[in-house]
Amino acid sequence: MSRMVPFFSIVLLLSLQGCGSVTPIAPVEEYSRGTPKALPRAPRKATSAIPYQPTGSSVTSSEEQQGSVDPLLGLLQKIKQAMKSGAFNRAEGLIERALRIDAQRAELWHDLARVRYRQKVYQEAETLARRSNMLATGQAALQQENWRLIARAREMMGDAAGAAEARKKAGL
Amino acid sequence: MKGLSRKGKGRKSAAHNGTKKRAAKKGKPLPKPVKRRSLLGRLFLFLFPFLLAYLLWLDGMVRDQFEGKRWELPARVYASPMELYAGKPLTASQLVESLSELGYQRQSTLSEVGSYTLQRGAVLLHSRPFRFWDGEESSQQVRVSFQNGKVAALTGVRHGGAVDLMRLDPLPIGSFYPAHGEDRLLVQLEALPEHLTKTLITVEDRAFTRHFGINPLGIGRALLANLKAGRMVQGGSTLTQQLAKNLFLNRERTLLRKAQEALITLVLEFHYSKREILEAYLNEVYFGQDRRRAIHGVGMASHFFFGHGASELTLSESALLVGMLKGPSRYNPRKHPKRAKARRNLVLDLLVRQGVVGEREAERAKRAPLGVTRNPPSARSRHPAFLDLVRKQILRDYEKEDLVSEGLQIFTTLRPEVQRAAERALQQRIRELQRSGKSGLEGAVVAVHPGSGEVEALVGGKDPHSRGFNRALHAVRPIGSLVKPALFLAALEQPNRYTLLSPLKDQPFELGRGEQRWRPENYDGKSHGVVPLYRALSHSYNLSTARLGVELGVPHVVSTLQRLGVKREIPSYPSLFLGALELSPLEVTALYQPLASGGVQTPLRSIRAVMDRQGKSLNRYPLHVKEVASPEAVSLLQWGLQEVVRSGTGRVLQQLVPAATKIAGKTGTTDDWRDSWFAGFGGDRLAVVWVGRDDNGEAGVSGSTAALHVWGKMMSEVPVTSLRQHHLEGVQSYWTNESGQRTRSRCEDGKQVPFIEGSAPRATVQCR
Repeated sequence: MSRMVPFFSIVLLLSLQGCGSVTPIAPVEEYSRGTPKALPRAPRKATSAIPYQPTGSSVTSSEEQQGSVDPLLGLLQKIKQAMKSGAFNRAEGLIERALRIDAQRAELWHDLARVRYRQKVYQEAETLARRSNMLATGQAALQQENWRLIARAREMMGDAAGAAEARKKAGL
Repeated sequence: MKGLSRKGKGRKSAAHNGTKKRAAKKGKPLPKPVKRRSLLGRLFLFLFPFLLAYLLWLDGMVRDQFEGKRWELPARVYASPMELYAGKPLTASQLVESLSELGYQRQSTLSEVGSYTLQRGAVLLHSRPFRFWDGEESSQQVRVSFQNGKVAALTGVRHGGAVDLMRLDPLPIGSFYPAHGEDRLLVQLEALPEHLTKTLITVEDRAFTRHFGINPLGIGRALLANLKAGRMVQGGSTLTQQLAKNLFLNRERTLLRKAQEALITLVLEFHYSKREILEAYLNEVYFGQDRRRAIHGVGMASHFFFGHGASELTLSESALLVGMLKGPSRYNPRKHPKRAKARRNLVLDLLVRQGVVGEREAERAKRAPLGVTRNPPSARSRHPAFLDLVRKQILRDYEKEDLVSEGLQIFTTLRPEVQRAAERALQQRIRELQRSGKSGLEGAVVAVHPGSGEVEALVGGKDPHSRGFNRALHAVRPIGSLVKPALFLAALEQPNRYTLLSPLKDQPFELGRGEQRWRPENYDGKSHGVVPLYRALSHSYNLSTARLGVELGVPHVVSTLQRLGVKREIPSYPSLFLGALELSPLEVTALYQPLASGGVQTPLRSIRAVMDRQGKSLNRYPLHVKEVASPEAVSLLQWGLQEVVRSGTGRVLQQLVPAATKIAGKTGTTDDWRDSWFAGFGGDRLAVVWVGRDDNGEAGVSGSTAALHVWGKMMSEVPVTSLRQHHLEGVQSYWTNESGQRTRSRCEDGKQVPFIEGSAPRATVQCR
């Protein structure tokens, strides 16, 4: 309270000076507090339809990287963790960063397909899984995973015949 | 007279009040108290509620502003950060160029953040920490070694272990400023070197930690000094008073302002800690003018004068900045280096006298050069055309006021090295063409990553720094033969009717009558008989293409273009087949993006994410995909577009990019040589180039003489990867001969041509 003493003495001083009128202080900043039209999106609710299975064994680096440290080593770990914990928006950002470093890596597109599936954007999930398959030459396990995902996505879109076809390709 | 009488009454009243008090003590009744109250007293009583209200308002206002967003901050726009990892295509000189653009200092040791040293075949760097929208990137000391144009290894300097991946802080490429032009970069006290705060307190307000906001002793001292000197030589204002004045008041020097300043000072001191006040002061304080931009706060001042962050300030730099506060223009180290140096050394001497630093340390700092960069980082954007696109895209989601006041941090997709290469290539080719007699040429370039739709570069004219007409966004011109791939795609999507070998008649014909008559011609004025479909595309034959268009029908071609992303009105008459459609270079890029990406469309993006001033992520702009064309047909089309470069109208490109790099592309030239276009892509980059005249006059250039050269020059600087033939289940390749027949085996001059399953001709012929 002792700090208030000079405070009020100044108030008194001010009033005695006859400066009590409410003068607007300039420049007082006025902020337009308009909120962004597009607000940060809340994480979409995850479905439990497809349990996340890390693509572990299919993790291979593209040819340029062979013989040295895989630059995506740490990122892939983080992606795995984010997906396991259901942080799909975070996983999405990490996958995109990884894709900027190596867009030819099939399992990254597969992971992004999974993210879209969890976000219930099934058409995109299918397109991404197909892109993953285009790059997954010689990666039978990953291709199978992709077809499995496509089958589920088609099912969710009400395409039973397409889903059956995809399941066949997945060897189910 | 009135005044006098009032004063008299006042005195009387005071005396009377004195009597009143004593009387009251004695318990005597008060004689007519209300009637005899003085005018001043009544005025005070009358004004008291207003004063109280004013005080409360002031208190609320100060707290609101201090605790809320104190400053209108410009939005800051950043380029894509450089990622470092073993295997990245990068040379030592490219890394050094990027580091110096970021303001890293070359030094003999790595002790300071934001420095680098050179070794044989390697660069050692001490990176700056940076908060990205997806997490914090901590400062690291790494050794980057190079071999064969690539990063050979990335190792930690201290631990010696391999570092898998790191990213440098992103290059600021521009800002969206508030109208008042104040520019500042907020810094936190913890991030500042201690010598800066100590120097500030020592020079400006030694009693800062002890006073209550106002320092009567200081005022007295200043008064005495000023009286002695006979002029203003010393100010008695404390740091808090200066902050109150700078933050809440204008420059007017009236008694009323002084009183308000005192009140605000007390409010500040009452509510906030000394650390908070000091931090606000360091962010508020004015350091000078850069044209229309006012440099505020130590964060921006550090960048403006020294080219690095405030956390990297040395003792001598801190002394210079604090010394400048006395007169930012008088002690401007760029304009008056001698005066600034003398002032800095005076500050350092004072620090020694006050025991803040040792004599040796001060001597070292005094011997140091001013450390000011020769040219201040310009407030003008480095790449205004790209910034136009950012502005356009961000205004879809944010209000204009927020863009210039909320301190948004906008992370873009711009790759500075690609942008620089695109700017240089366009400038150089136009200069060459002008030397050969072509005048008034202009141009535009757009480069994107086809798989993600991220815009890597955008050039709006031959002068990349011009803020004028942005041709990449606004020059809407006929696209000529650039439309043809859409038409051929529409055909190849019907494998039962068309393959790359389908014979097409390249012979004159006409449609309609009278004014409606349409009679296409080939560029060379000749007809070429019957040609395989792919050659009609690769050699850009108009007659065969127009015939194919007629077979497909205008509506089908229109709907294919719409499917590929054309939003503008598409002319629905046959001249569409030869490019009567008008688009901007950016729109052409969007049209080609799905063709470069296996039929999968991705909206072109210039922004990855937006953070608020506190570093909280507000928006991310994720990658979205949509399949808009048959991947099999697109794969065939890509083969056809590679033929353009291998043997068709774009073959001159082979002289500009390494032969091993597979490139697909299409040249475009419009009537009377008005527009020169080239759209081309490899595995990781699609770029569209336009060259022509603003007045739509005859430019005298074709797609291959102007635009294609720009494309090739650009890609020779920032190599594009080879287009990959992806494995597609429904596509198979067969050997064919020169005349487009399927052969049993590989023949001389034979080609392997892809077909959609079941569409390849069954009959085979022998090699001749």
